This record gives sequence, C-alpha cells and structure tokens, in this order.
Amino acid sequence: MVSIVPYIPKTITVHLGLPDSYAANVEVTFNDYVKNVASSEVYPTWDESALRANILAITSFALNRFYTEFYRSRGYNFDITSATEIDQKFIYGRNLFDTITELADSLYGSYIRRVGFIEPLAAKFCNGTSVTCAGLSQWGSQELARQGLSSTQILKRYYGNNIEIVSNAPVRGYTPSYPGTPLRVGSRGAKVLQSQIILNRIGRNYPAIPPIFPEDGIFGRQTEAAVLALQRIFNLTPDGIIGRATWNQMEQLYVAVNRLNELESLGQTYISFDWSPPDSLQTGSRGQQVRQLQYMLQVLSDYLPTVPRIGIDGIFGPKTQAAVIAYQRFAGLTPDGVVGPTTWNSMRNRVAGILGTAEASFLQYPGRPLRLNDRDNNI
Amino acid sequence: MTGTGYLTVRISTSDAELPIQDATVTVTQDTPGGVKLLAVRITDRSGVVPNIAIVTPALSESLSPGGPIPYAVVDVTVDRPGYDRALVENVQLFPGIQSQQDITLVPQSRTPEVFNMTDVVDITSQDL
Repeated sequence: MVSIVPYIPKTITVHLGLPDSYAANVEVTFNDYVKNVASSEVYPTWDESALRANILAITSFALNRFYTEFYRSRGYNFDITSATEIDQKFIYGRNLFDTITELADSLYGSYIRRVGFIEPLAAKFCNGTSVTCAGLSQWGSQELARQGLSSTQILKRYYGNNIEIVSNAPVRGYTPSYPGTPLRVGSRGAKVLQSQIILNRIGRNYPAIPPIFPEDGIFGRQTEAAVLALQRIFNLTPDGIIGRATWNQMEQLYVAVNRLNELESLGQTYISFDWSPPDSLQTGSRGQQVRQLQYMLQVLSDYLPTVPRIGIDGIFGPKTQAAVIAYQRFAGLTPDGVVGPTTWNSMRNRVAGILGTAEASFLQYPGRPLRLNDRDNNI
Repeated sequence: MTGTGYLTVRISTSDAELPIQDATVTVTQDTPGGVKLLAVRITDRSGVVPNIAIVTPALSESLSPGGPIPYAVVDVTVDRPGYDRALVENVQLFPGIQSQQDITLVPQSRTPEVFNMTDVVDITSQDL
C-alpha cells in the first residue's frame, strides 16, 4: 500500500547484495541506515554543507525507494539493496563517524522533493570523478561547499531550482516525538516526564546512568546527571541538555530495550479513555472529549498538510473548529465544524491506523494519572 | 605530515542493548613489517572503550580527489568468555574524527563442535 503522505519509516530492510543474488536481509532503524550509507559514501572530513547535501540526497533516495515500493512491488521482501550500481552503499556492522552522525541526527525527518510533488526525490548521485551522472557529484558537492555554497544551494545546482527541503516529516511507528525545543535544567512538563521514564528504563540496562527519583516532570540535577551519563556512553556532546540528537538516541534505545521484556510492564499505570463518539461537540464545548478531539487533530495534522496544527486545551474554540472543518473537507464529510459520531469515528479510525500501538498513544496523549509533585500546564 | 583519529568501541549483546562489561578489545594494524598491536583495553560497565588515538594520514588527503587513501584502517577484535569472538576488519579512521564502532556479541553455542567461532565484519574501502 502506498501511503498518501510520505513518512519516515521506523526501520528499513536492506538486502546485502544485488536484488536477485543470494544475500542476507537486515533490518535497521532508518536513522542508522542513513548514518551508515553516509559513512560509506563520503568522507567525514568534508565541509558541513557538503555533508548536509549528501545526507539529504541519501535520505531522499532511500525514502523514494520506500515510498514507491520499488522492490516490494516487484515481489522482493526488502526495501532497498546495498549494491552501489543500483542503490547506495551500505556496509552492515561498519564504524560511523561523529561529524556524519551528528548531522544525520539534526536532519532526521528532512528530505528533498520537487515543488508541487509529494514524493521524496529519487536523488541520484555519483562520485563525480571516475563516474559521472545526471545527479549530484560527491566531489563536486565538496568543491561547491568550499566555495561557500549552502547545502540547499548545492542541491539546487545538481537537481534544479524547483526542489524544496521538507523538514520534520512524521516518523511512523516511533514512540514519543522530539519536543521541538531542547529540554534542560528548569524545563517542566509532560516531555520532561517522558524523558525521565525513558532514562530510568534505559538505566536498567546501563547502570552508569543514575536513576531519577521521583519521576516528577521537573528537569533537575538528577535528570541532568542521567542525561550526561547517557551522552558520555553514546558519544554525544556531554552538555546535559536533551536536544534532537540526544532525544533520538533515547528514543532508539527505549524501543530497543523494551523489546527484551515485552511481558514486563513499564510499571506505569495507564488510565483508559472512553473513545466512544460524543453526541455532538462544537464551538463552546469543553472537557475531556474536546481534549481527545484536539489530540486526534494534532496527530492528523502531522499527516495531512491541510489540517492546521492546534494545541490541546480542552476548549472548542475557533482554531479547533477550523481544524475540524479542514479534516471534514479532507475526509469528504459535510464541513460544518460540528463533531458528531460520523466525524469522530472517521478521525478515530485514521488516528488508530497512524499510531498503531497502544503504547504510542499513551506516550503521546498528555492525559495521564496525576501524582504527587505533578507540575504541568496540562493540569 | 599525519593527523590523529579517535576510535570508540561499544560492545553489547542482542538488539536489546545489553552492554557487555569486561570484554577485551584488541586493536591491531597491518603494516609492511607485520601486524602491529595498537591497544588492548577492557570495556567499562557501559560496554565502552573510549578514545583510542590512532595515527592517520593528513587532513588534506581527504579534501580533494585522486590522492592516496586518506584514512587509516585498523582491525578490532573482541573477546569475552561465553561469547563468540568478534572481528571487525578495516575500521576507518580520519584525522580529527571520532569513529564509533558498535559490535554485537553473539552468545556461544553450547555445542562443542562449533566452539571458537569468530563473527567477522569486513569494512570495504571507500571508492571515491
């Protein structure tokens, strides 16, 4: 099934050879895939804008293969191959370089597309010396970077002026999404609480990460100490601040460590929500069901460009109404801005499809049991 | 002229990220005069051996095409009782760059015939 809006897959399956050759398939996280290819394709000593341009091209090429189901639609059981003549170079188990890793983390969720088109660009590239092609020249990109061009200027030089960079594309199948701004000592709220839960869980595998107690949603010295320990172990800049790279590392580890003990719960109590449809929600409505509605609209807005992103405050105001109407237009429902059972169920089914797992919905939905020391603008 | 690159090795087992403490990490390099031992270290409780300094070619070698190979290569061997030995060949090091080599150890088979297994990864060269 080709999805309507491109998303960053959680993992990608790589065939370690030509499509019809007998070779292993390996499944790696998409972010690790990009880091591996970039470490295999270009030199980590190059100028930053050249590395950025190459990482964006690598990401877009892989997403294009994934989005168009290039191999799957031909009956293969993988998304891309490691054969350089048709795809990009991937060496399973190789070493990664810090400059490339940091840039790939900061560009996570970004790719190139043609203006007016939604599919990721099939951004071909070659080295530019022994092999030349219609796409990006790797050595040429470094030369242009030396001349002071930005990564976007470099990409336009090779792929034409009618390209644009999409950033923060939705990531499917992942647990919590990056809060948008770095978390540091003094930060408070649901994202801090999530971080504390995640750090404590990772700390059970990595005892060098000191425990945080209580998990209270307040970023204090204990949380900072845990972040610093994690950063030291995983070679991130040890600044005690949860930026995008640190968050991505936490997210990946959290997914990984949780595989081990699927039977063991996180020790976190869940409150269950009643997702049965309301009689009618409209401008002026308030309360828990409005919050749930706003949450669903938030999730949908990540995937549907026409639905504006709104906050969650439990009050059905003009912004909520505008988002509801935008969704109704998208779904072919009567765009009256009133949420009855039909609109509600339509949204709920789409959101359930997007989130996939109950855990993801728990982690993203800010509703949760209150406890001692809770401080948060959700309360 | 030469530069210095840095190698950090991280050892774990299973995809579930269990760090392996007290694994022996040996870093060697093939030279015209034979195999040269560069470092032997033990992993800490996070499974990490950090910042092994290694001599590399000069920075300028990797910034323009057509020159000699602009990076140094080393072999990394990991031993830990109870696990297969792991060997990663031709780990690349560039001047001023931190190279991160993650290695996953596989628990040893209980069948005697397959003792002394080595899991090998060979990093093929860049062909830029």
